[in-house]
Amino acid sequence: MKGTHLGEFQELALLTILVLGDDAYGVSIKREINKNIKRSISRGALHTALTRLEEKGFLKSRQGEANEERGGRPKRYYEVTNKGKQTLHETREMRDNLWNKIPSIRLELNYAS
Amino acid sequence: MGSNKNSPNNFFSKVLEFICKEELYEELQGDLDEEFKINVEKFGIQHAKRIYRKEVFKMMRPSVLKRLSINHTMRTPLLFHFFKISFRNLKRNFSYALLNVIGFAAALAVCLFCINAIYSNQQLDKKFSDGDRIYRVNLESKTLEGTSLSATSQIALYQKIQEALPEAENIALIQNQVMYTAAYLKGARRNLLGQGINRDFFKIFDYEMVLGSAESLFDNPKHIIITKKVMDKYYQEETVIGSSLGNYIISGVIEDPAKVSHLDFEFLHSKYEDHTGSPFYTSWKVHTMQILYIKVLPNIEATYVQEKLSQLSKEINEELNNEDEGIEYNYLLEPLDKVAQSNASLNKGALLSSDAQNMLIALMIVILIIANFNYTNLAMASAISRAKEVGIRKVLGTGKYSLVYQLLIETTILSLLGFGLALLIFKLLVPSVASFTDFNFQEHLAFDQVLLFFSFSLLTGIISGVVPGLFFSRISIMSLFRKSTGRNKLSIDFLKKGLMTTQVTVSLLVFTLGILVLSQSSLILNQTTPFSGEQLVALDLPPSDSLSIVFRTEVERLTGIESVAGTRAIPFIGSFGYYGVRKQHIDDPTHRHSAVILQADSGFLSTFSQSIEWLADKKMIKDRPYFLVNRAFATSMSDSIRRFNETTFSLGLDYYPVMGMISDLNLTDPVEAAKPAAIMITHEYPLGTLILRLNKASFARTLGEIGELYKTRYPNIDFQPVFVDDVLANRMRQFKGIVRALIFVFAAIVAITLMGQIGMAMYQAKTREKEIGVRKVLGASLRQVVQLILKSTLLQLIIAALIACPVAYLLFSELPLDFAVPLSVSTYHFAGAFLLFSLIIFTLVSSQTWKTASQNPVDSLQNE
Repeated sequence: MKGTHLGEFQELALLTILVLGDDAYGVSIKREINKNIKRSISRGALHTALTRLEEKGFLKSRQGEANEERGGRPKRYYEVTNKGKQTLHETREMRDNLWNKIPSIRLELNYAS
Repeated sequence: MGSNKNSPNNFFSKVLEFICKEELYEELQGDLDEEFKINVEKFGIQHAKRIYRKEVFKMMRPSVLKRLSINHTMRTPLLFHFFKISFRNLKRNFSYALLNVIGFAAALAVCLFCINAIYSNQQLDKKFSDGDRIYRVNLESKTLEGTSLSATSQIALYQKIQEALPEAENIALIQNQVMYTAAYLKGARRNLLGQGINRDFFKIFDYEMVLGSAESLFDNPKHIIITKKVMDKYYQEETVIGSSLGNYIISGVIEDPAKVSHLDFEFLHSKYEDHTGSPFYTSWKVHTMQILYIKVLPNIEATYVQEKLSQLSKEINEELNNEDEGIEYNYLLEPLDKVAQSNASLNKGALLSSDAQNMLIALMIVILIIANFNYTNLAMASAISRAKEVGIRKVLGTGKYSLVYQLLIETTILSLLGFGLALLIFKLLVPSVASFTDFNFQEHLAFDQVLLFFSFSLLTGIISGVVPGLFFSRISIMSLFRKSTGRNKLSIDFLKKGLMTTQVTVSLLVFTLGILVLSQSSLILNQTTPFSGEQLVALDLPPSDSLSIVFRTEVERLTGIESVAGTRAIPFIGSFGYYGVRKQHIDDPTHRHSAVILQADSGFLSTFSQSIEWLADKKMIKDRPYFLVNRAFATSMSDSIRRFNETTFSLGLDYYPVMGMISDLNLTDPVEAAKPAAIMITHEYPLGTLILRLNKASFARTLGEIGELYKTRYPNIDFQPVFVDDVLANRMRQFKGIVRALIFVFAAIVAITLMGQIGMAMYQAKTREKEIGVRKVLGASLRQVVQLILKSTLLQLIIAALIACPVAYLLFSELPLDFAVPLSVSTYHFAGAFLLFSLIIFTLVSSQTWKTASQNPVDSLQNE
């Protein structure tokens, strides 16, 4: 189970890569995640998550083009694999099931009068 | 670390390259570079660089870091084994290890004090508001003698600056005129150091008031503000305000200035003497009377103010025709944060000028090198004594680096223990050291100071472990078991002797240097002066010719007065300006020599009679002015045409002869060699200051009578007698402080090297244990055994003397200072140092050998 388990941040990373499509590389993924979770994550933390995802087979990467802004260094683009997509679907299904099981009354917000 | 303005920090990029896996580096560095450029546009360059640095730090995670190859001998179980052996070894040689640790800790503790003194000095003056706009106006005077920088300036400068510098928001004055006030406190006569200030003083130096208000000082000319130290010593907090101190009333208490600033005084008052009527004090030649600070208006550049000041300097020089006398005055701004380390003379208080700080740092480096050397030497000696153990381990196949690690762990544990002990010593001793010297000490250490010494201890531990470790790992196994190889190879035996001799040489060098420096210091402190100042009281008279004559006549009539002299000013307080003296036999009007001149009347002769060596018949003097000169004047004023006593001299108008000599007269800094100086006996009458010699037996009564007379003649002015013996003692105050600090440091250095010697003596006794045991069995007495050991020690001492004495002589003669009484280094100094040192060494070695020799030879021969 440990090998296929998807952590919260890893899930975020996969979803963000899917959002970005062909433009998913280190800088853009970081920027998009920061925008959505409204807090800053480090490139190092992102790298760890992406490496683990690659090891689990949820992601694959390829070398991209270099440009002057990057000091002539190439980008590394990431793409979600079928296994990754399947895991995302499973995770979403599990969440939806849990949400559906909660009676609506328990989801109402209570305030002190 | 120089980085391009729009590129991230080179240093951190290199760190990333160093730590990052090769296959990831290009991607990650590229991402960081791209992000950096985006951040520069969004947040600006500084913030972008900060983010970049943080990102590099956060790259330190296992998925990014290179895998460092660890030598297979550093596996954890083996490491643990090394630690176990280390502790066992340390326990076995406990006293030796303890000595090593204590010696090292002592050296570190001394350096911690030194660095703390420097650091504390640099924290001074940080508390004042708008400190970045505050400057002191120093005076650079160029004369024929040379250039000198003084913290004080002329009285007349104040008005000139007010007119010339509208950019000065405030101008603070401190007047040196009131040096002491005599008061009876707690039953004894005390002299307290006070300074006259103006209103702007508190606008620039906003000290904390402990009691009362600063403004109260200006409500009443009798008001003074004392420091907290004075209050704690002589008064009660509840009743101090309104209490009297001499003729003054205390209206406030201020925090101790020496703890937070470069200023040092015991009280302040507002009524500084108005010398605008006195031609002497307002003379531009007298520049020791006041210290001037300015606070520049906001948004005015200091360079602009300096330019205006330079312009003012030029105008003053022109006005005074200084060029004719070969004199030039330049006023220079010194920022407040540099004042405490200033090299300007007459910088008040017990400060560390940057020259003194550099000397202290040099001393610290010497101590640390000696400590490192000592430690390494002792570690090496300890390793040598385990030569057989190392040999057996090598035979059993131990790896090269295993030996290195073993020694490394032992020495590093000890050195770090030494560091811990040094911190403890510092914490325990800092209150007492602070009271021993005048320096300001912070009770706590800054983080980077602690880090610096921790790193040094670690480095020492590493060096002293690696050096013997590498030596043993390379040496052949057989030579570890043999005493000497018979050939010219480096044997254990030779190494042992070499180490011991080196230790002795270094110790003797330090010892001899210490003795030379201390002899020089004591020569300066005990130098003869022509005047002892005993029974002498100086009194400045307000400018009023007729009253002065009347007052003087009345004083001369008092029974307790032995003699009265009139002088231009109180001698020995600070220094006077230089005059450009002309010689009569030289026609060229621009040809001048510098000398310090003090004008006095004929009363001077009876007041200071003993010191004068007459060169001509006194009858020839009559009413003509003449000079009494010192040796430096005689030397510098004699030329190939005429000697000094064969010509006459002028200060600008008429020429007068030299009638006598006061050889050791020194009107300048008593520590340095006396500059050319002379007393000019003039019949210009009256002069503004009286020097009175009072009869010893009726001193107090006569002083009282003089006070009464003074009050009658000058009812609105306070009677401020100055005790000349106090003034003379005070001249050396700062030098004495330095000497005390030097004694402390040298004593520490000598103690550290002697500890190294004790270690060596112990080591020597231990390694010759068996030899001693065998000799005892064969019938040698204790004394014979000790004598045998001492014979080899004597040889070491002789070799040490041959090296250390010339080196000590060379180092001492390299000292750049020009002392008033230079030490003439003779063989007696070296012989004395050598004998004393030898005595100490013989005692140490004998005591260790005696202990070993008293052992039962069965025990020492049985142990293997």
